[in-house]
Amino acid sequence: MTTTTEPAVTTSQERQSRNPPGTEATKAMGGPGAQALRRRRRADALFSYAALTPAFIILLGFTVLPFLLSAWRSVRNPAGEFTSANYERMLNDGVFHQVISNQLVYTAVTVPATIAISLFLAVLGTKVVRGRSLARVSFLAPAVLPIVAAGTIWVYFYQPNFGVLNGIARAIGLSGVNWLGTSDTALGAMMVVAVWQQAGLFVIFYLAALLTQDPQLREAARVEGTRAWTFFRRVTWPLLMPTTLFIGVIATANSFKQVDLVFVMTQGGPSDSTNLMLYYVWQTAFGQFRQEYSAAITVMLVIILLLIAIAQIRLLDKRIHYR
Amino acid sequence: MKHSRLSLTASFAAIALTLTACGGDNGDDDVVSIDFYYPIAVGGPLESAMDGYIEQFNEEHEEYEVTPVYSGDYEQTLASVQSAAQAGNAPAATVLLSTDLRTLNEQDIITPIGEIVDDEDWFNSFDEPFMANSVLEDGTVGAIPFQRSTLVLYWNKELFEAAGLDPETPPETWDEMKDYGHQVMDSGADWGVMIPSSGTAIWQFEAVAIQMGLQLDSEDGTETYLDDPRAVEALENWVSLQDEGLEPQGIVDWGTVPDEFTSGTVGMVWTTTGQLTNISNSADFDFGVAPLPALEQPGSPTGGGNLYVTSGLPEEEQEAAVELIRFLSSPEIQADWTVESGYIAPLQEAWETEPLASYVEDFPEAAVARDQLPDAEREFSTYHRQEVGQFASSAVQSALTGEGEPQELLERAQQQADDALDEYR
Repeated sequence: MTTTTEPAVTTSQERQSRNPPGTEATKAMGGPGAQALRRRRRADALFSYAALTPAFIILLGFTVLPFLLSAWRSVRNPAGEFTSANYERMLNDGVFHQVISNQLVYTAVTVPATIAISLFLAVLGTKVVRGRSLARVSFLAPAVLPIVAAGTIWVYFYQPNFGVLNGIARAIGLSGVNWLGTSDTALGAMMVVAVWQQAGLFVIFYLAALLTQDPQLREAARVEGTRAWTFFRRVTWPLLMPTTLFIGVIATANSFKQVDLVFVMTQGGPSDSTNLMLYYVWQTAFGQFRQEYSAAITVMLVIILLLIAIAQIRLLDKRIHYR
Repeated sequence: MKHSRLSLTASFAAIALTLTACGGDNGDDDVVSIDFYYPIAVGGPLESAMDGYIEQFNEEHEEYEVTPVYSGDYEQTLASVQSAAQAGNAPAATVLLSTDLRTLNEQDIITPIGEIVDDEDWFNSFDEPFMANSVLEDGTVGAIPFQRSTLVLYWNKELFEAAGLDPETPPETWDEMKDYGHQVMDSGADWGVMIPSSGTAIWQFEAVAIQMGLQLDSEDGTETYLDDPRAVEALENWVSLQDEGLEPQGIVDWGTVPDEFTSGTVGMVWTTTGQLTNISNSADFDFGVAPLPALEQPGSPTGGGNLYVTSGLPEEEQEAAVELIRFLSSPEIQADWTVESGYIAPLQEAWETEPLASYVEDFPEAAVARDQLPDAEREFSTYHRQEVGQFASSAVQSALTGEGEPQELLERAQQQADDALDEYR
């Protein structure tokens, strides 16, 4: 289930690298050396297919095939007849509606927030002169923590009675909040942890992109008297677009794959306010013994992911300048 | 050239690996080998204790070879067993939640143990409130109770004393519980009472409902009574703890309640007997354990696991599984397991067996759960138990977070439960 996002990513990469290098050569066919050339090309093609085979088998076996099996399963009832009952059930399942809306909020908030925060930290990071490696390690620290450990630590931060956050709040005279214990704040509290967890890794990507930008651009801008913000908006940001697309796709995938924090922090509660799609897939498949329904939700999940991936790539491709 | 040599080596390595992987199952022909999956849901180094029992079993039974597999918590174990069963490779014996009995039987994942052996004396040796979650509606014994627990009240004797209360007297009724709660808060405690409400809040809700004199589901598991006036009153009582400021607003987390209690700032908490060892290790003050307080009557639900035999086994593996279950549910093992884990031994004989007998003498708190048994009721276990339980838990949580009135929330949960259970009526 968790690997279902990969095809979208892979296809985008494939599409870009699939400009066939042989198009030029085709025109030259028919000359005296054409026979040898053709044989050579066939050998090359065979080798590249052979080289692709392991990856292809893994993709097929662990992503495409399970998805097709899920799709097949979702339209069959336990007696083996075809049925649309599992999809009709979705329409009337209040918990499922809540889960979808939680998921969309979660994705719509965590993805831009992750991009904004990691970019901000990366820009700060380029300005650090002393203790540069210390700064970078500290960015990465949350990302190398196991998610379960991170979630458990934050459960204690958020604890209303003796948690750190409410301790600070009380010290400055505010009344504490039961962060994970009220429906209004629980999802938000979990999103903070998710962003904190993954932003550090993306800082490294942005740092790498920022540090490879041509310093002449900045000098030219300084000569022309461009303001820093304009420079960032007109030069730095567009040049970072490939990195941003990459981070956006990964962060979106992560948001749909998020299940660990739900397990550790809230078990989907209070009142399903933090129940996300993958957790619900797990609940229906194993806890509720509704594997056909779970398969149908998985199909929905994949469809949503494919749509988002296509939209992301279509929209952003136009605005990206690859060098 | 280099390519082909590399790929040749790689293929040999792959074939060799595959062969090694296939080789493991060919043991001796006259020894029956089975797997046993077990979850652990409380803290402590319990794997080694369980592995020790299995080692002892293997030594005593030359004809059987049991491999113990620690499989995470109950949820993960259920998932492992389901996946293994679909792959035709289910463990012969396993521990799963007692409340999943109906569904496991309906899905044909287990064979009711009463269909394999007919041993009334053995079945009758277990306590009735525990056995109630191990018997199918037609009276067949489906499984054997194992690592059971129940809800009890823990109270902080130091806070009671500071408030001028008798530190040795726990509350016997809700009125007393609220009164004592207010008194300990007046003398400096942060909170009076905490009843956890995260996750599967249905268990705690059941406790209050039983105290109102109501079992939330029917014996045959096809009906729920979530909108019964007594259920509504039970939930209103629970919410009143927040309204009176005795309990923090919103959800009280199940996982951190023991820490809240041992931090010494809460007068009383409700939690499982399974936390007794943990709490007594971390509390640096005197505390007591008592049966839950009464509303109309005292009462508490039981909880925990069953030992199951899976379905579709060859006869000799089935026998091995039953023999293992007999061994694990014997008073000797149960006495030891109760001391090690804090779970309640589900048969009286175990309490008179060492090491449990002398343990209870030194540490009488451990016996409170057993003493509460006459008032204990079976656990909520309808068909689609997890789904229906979640509707009820959500209603409880919505009431506690102020998203609605108990009456309408429980009516909606009842409606949802009716829809889910309709196919069984």
